[in-house]
Amino acid sequence: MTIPERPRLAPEVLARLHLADGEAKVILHDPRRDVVLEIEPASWMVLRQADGTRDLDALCLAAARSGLYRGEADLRALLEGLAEAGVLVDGIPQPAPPAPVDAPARDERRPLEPLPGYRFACDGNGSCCRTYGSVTFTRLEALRARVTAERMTLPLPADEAFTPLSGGDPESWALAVAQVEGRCLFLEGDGLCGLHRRDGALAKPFPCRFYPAMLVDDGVAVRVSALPECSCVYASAERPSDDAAPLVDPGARTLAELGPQATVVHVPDPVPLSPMRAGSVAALRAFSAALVDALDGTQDAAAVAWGLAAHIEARGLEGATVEAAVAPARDEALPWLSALGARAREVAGVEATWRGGSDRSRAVAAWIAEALADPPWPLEATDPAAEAFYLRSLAHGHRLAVEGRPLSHGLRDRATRILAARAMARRGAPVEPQDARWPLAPLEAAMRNLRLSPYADSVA
Amino acid sequence: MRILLTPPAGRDEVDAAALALGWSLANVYPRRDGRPRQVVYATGEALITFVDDHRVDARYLVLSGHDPDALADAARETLPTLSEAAVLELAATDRVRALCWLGVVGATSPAATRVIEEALESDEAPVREAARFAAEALGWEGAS
Repeated sequence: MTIPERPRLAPEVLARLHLADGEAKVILHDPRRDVVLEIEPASWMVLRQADGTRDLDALCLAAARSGLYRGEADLRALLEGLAEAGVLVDGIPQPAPPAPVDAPARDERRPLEPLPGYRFACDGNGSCCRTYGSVTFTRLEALRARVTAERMTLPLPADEAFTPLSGGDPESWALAVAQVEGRCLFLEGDGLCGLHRRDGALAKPFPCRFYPAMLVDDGVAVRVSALPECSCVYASAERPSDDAAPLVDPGARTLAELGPQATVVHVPDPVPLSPMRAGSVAALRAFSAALVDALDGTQDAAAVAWGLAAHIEARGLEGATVEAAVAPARDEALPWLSALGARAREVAGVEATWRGGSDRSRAVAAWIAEALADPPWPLEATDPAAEAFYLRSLAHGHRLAVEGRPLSHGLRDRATRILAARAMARRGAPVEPQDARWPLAPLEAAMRNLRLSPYADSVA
Repeated sequence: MRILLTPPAGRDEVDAAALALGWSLANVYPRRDGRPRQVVYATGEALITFVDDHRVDARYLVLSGHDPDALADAARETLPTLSEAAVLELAATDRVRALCWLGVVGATSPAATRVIEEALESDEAPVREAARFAAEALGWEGAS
């Protein structure tokens, strides 16, 4: 395999430092081809020098200066392996041509519309800190964390624990922290954040403080909804505790007041409704509002999502209400469940090759795969209120319209996820007690974190 | 001082020796025009240059320092090397290559000198060419 003359890690590749079963390793994940590679930390230190300006000789010299040189053959073998996996590019980044269509501009004056009546409280269990592969820090936040970490006992030195959020650029402004058995490096044994414990909430990076809020700009307002990926989100919907609080600062009225770090996703205009239809953003707003109002836990959420998908494909958003609910027949749902199950089995196999035995994500992947191997039928709701909240939160946040798929496809995907969570409630080994209560939470998190979501693209 | 490596030993073997003997990689000169590729290693008091000499199909080390003998001994213990005597034996079967390599090892024995002198008078052009290379190489810096 030919090595690029001046190799550099492709900017799409995610490099993460993990301590798994006590062994330090760096995992390179290329989401473009779903390639997962494992390299040694020493190899990563060498690879960081491959910035697109150095050829093999210069990389040998750079490695020698860092005390990491193990011979040209060693370095060549590393680079050949990475080149074969397609994760290297040649030379320094070139300026990209302008996009054919401008991205929607961020409008700081846009008013905020939080999910009506919802208040959130974290249970302090730390399950979200054991779920996500990328806990993102700015360089300043990472610097602060390193200072705080001087008062912590960590299994890895904090000043070596950050990798670029993507690619190999050592000057990257966004960094991801190392994980220990799939947990954030700074998570302590009692489930609390070591940074928060020592220096308060502001010591944590912004995404951790903002979680689980999600912002979607629909051109009229910024919808604030909750990512339904954590059991606390569902527990808060069921019975908000006394210390529950709005998802974002209740004093904030506009996007500007949330600060520049608050990421906003834009609803496409027109909105893709189905392969053959598109609709206006105004119609989507009306559809979402009606759904949020109507879903009260008395309906079968899977039937609502499935029926709405069929209705939208046939007639668009006109008349698309919960009255359109139609439960999928077994032979309609099975291809979707099978595709999700196949994807889960594939991912579970890959994760098991490098994650440690106590890693939550590894166990979640195995649970989903086991639950969906020949899924039971019928799959009746075990927690209609939680499922209704799930759809309400997604609808309020226009989540089904911003994931790159037509709305109808997104609805079938969500109906499948609800059915899959029902299967998980009946079969397989829940990872933790709160997972047994709200299996939708780990399933939703796995869709993003464990790359299960592309299953929906494989279903016609 | 120059040490000729036994084929096919090359960069990988020298890298391994460098790691074992504590030589640090210091520089790499790529092959350019007539100049062979050279990889330079350093210790606290000596330089070791690995030369991948495409001109005479030879790979050798050039040791420089105020007392390279100990370094040479360590290199010979760690790497497969060809002595002057071994190169002279090669002359019986591969005269042209042996002549070039005699120059590389900085041959000093009367036998080697005789072989080179005879070759300079040879009727065969490649042999004369190789002998001229050897005579010139004997005068290179670090020949012995």
